[in-house]
Amino acid sequence: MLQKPITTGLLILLALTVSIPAFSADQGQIIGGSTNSPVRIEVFSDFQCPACRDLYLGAIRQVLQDYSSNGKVCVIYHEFPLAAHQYGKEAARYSEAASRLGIQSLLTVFDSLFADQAQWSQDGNLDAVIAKALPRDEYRKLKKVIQDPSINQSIDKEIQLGTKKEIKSTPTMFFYYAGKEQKVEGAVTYATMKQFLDSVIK
Amino acid sequence: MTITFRILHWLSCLVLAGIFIYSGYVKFGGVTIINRNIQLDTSLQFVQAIEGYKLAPQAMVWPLAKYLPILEIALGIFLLSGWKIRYSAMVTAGLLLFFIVVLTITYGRGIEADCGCFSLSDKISPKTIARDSIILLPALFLIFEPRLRSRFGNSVVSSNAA
Repeated sequence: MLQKPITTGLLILLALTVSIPAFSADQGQIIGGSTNSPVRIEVFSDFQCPACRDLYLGAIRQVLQDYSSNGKVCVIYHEFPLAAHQYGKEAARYSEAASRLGIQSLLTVFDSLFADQAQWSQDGNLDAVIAKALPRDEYRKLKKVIQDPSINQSIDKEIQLGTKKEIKSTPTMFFYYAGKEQKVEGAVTYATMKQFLDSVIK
Repeated sequence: MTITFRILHWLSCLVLAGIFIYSGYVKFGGVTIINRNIQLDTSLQFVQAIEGYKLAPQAMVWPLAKYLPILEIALGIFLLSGWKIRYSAMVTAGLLLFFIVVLTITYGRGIEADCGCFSLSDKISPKTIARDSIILLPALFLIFEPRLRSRFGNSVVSSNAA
């Protein structure tokens, strides 16, 4: 009598333990750690989305400091500006351009876009926010790079990738560890993320 | 009448087992082998859903997210096996009642949280409460089945005899 439930249980456990292959991280902006890190977090985000702001300022920045700086976690951001957000794509263009100047400029742009989200979301004056955050030289370079038509192409590719990954809302995160994948929709607090990361990084 | 009860019995078992195994599966974080140690993973999305209820103390959130899906899968397997079915049905009904109370309290408090019931992006609404209440019915049937059988089964037998 007991054979049936045991076999069913074993079959279910086997199905659950089959690892899911991670998708290649050839796109997106690496904002911390390296692709060799034991855990990789890929975030599909929109700079004008308040939950994305909460996630970045409330959790991701701390993850960069506590886990990425010592190579434990790689954080990759994918641009996924939502159609409902008027200035989301323009903000993504600034971020994409900053990524071509280097990690320092990229992080500065990330910080300022999210920290001043309430301000530029009102009037769309992204330029003022970026000009205030970056050193003059870097800002000038960024203004040049942002003219490059490949910036839009990169963002469109990211949106295509997000659509392929069935992203319905932002932020959506994918955690890759030990050959496994976990999808999380919505913002997560740092405390929750820390507990999770500590459980999968040994 | 005996056949009707038998059909209802297996239908209730199959429906409940299917629902519980599926619901546990979507919330189960899986198993990982790290440095030769087998560990149960927790679904971060389910942790987030439990936190969204703003009801459980922080210390309880992770154990709930880790073990509740396993309990659901185990209950599903027990219901499928037909072994100690009344006890399985009692635990199932208890769990469903607990879910209904928690959903009602959260909805009553006006908190917009994810139900975390069958998919991990399912908002709490009167629909989710009604759905859990409907799922409770087959569990109640299995608990009260012997009583129902003796009452209705006998009455049919006696009316046939008459």
